[in-house]
Amino acid sequence: MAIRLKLLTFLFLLAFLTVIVRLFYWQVFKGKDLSIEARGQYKDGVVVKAGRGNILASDGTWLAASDEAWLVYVEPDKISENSRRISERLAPFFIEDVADRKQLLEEIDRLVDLIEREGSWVPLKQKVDRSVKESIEAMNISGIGFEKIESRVYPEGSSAAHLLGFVGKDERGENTGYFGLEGYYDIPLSGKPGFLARESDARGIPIFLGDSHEISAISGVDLLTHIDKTVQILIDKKLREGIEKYGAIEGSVIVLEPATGAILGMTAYPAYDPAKYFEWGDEYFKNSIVSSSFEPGSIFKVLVMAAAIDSGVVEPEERCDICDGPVKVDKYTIETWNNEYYPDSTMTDVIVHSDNVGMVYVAQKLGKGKFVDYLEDFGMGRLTNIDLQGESSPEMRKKGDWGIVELATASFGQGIAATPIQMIRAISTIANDGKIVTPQIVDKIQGGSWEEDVKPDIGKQVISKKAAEAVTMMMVEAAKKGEAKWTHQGGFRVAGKTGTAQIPIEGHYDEEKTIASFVGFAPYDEPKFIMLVSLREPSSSPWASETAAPLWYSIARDLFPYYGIHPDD
Amino acid sequence: MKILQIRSKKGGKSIWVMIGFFLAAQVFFTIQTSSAGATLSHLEEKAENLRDENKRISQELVVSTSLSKLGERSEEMGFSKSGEIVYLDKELNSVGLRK
Repeated sequence: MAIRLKLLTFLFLLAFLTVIVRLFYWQVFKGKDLSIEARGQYKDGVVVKAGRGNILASDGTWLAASDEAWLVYVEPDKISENSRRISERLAPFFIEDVADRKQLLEEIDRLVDLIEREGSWVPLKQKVDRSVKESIEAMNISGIGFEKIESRVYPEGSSAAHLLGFVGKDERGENTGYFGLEGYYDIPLSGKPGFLARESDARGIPIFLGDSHEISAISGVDLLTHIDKTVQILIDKKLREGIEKYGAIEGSVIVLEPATGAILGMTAYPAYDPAKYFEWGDEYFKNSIVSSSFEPGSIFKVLVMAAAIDSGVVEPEERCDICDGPVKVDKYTIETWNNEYYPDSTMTDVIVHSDNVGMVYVAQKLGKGKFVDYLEDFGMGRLTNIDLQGESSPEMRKKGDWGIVELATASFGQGIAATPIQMIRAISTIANDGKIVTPQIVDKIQGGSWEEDVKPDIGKQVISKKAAEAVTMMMVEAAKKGEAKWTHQGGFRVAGKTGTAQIPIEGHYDEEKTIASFVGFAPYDEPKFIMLVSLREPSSSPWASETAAPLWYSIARDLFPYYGIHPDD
Repeated sequence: MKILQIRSKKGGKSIWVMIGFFLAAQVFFTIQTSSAGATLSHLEEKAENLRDENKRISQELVVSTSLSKLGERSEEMGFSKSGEIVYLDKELNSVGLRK
């Protein structure tokens, strides 16, 4: 009996010890791992995404807005139908043209390949819209699911592509803005994602008394721009028509408010659809207005003339004593563009006739030092600081590197390069009583409950008001009596200047290819807008007076009533 | 001695009543808070649906305010740009035509 009792006691002790050892094992040795596993079951942690801000036109309507799209995925282990059958049902929703048999069959093969892949989750199609999602959902295919993703919608399509840029993916697969406003303001537009961690039960329902903590997401800001949709759509439409009509390969139009530097519209061609940027090559993304330089040609003459009048070396009515024929500079002979010469031309005549010899006379009187100083003040050779990603500036020759030939050719816009945005900014100085401004696209940055006004950035007085008025009057005469007089809109107070520049290729100028430009502002005494139109390699005529100028007036004729500009008589 | 016994019996009874009350209250509040989780989940789902709906309507608004599409639509409907603009002369009380 005693032995049986002792045995029983021993067995109990052994069982007790086993339990103790087992508990020690689970709680001490495996405790940490189990705790993590348990937390994974009842603790829920999700990243709360911050919505990307909108880009708005000046009237508050959208130029770019956040949209919802869906990623269609398959869970191969959950499908119950044949993979080819599923692919045949899905493929028509994933291609552009259902009637394209080849495209359809290729899509079916692609989907079969994806569905038959090993894995628990395989993405099938990115960024399908709501209607596609609802149509696929209605088919109730087991194993097919959707994940909501953020996308971007550009309601005006490609008409403001270069201005807006687009939202693509970075190397981590996160949304990132590239080019234009999307690129320049990417960080404020993106906002900051938040995080929500809390305990939930097996069904995923939150446990009210459990631990929870939340870091709120900060939504991206909205950008209210100066862009006037009416102007933007108009210039884009007219530019496309102009490119077709004059057979140009590229073109751009910029409309700016001279007093503030506000960009009212900006378009360049070729363009792309920012919502489908992935269908276009990299070469389409470059905004030629801020990233490409060109030799401005005769539109540059007004800057040189403004510098000469401001410094007092010439007067508007002063007569040119070398304008009766070609002028020799070093070993080069400089002629006028049409080989016609006007002896004793006044400075106004020099601008009206776009006289290269007359401009050499002006540059020689100005001298290298002053010439370069004024060009620097006009912003040549440095960035304008426009709020667009991708701005570049061609280098300007250093003061000591200017010779008499460089000075002479630069006086009529040859041998010197600038971007279109640099040119319009410099010439807007003449329209703005001599003060230079920084071109700006964004007017206000709007958060949820706050708003920041982006004030106009008015720079230094580059030339006097008197000099600005004198050059303005020369441009008025040039518009009325110059080569583009045939297209001039009589009665309207327009100051303008044509510019036809040859294109430098491998150390020489191409005889046939030109860049045709026309810059002008109206009304000249109180300008509502200044506009620069540029066409690259127009084939109908190489001359700006027959291409860029009529395109400029074609746009201006619509802008006059829009801005309430009336004719004088 | 008898009086003390009676008081002690009464005191014991009221302690049990209080314990019972607190237990019932705890059960009640536990049930309440458990169901609050479900309510919270339901409200979150509702908020998500409203957000979705709001997004869908905003989207429609964004697309419908597209000036390019409006222009295309107006052309389809037969609207066209005015061919000529008439400027009124206030002083002469007459009109002028610009083409």
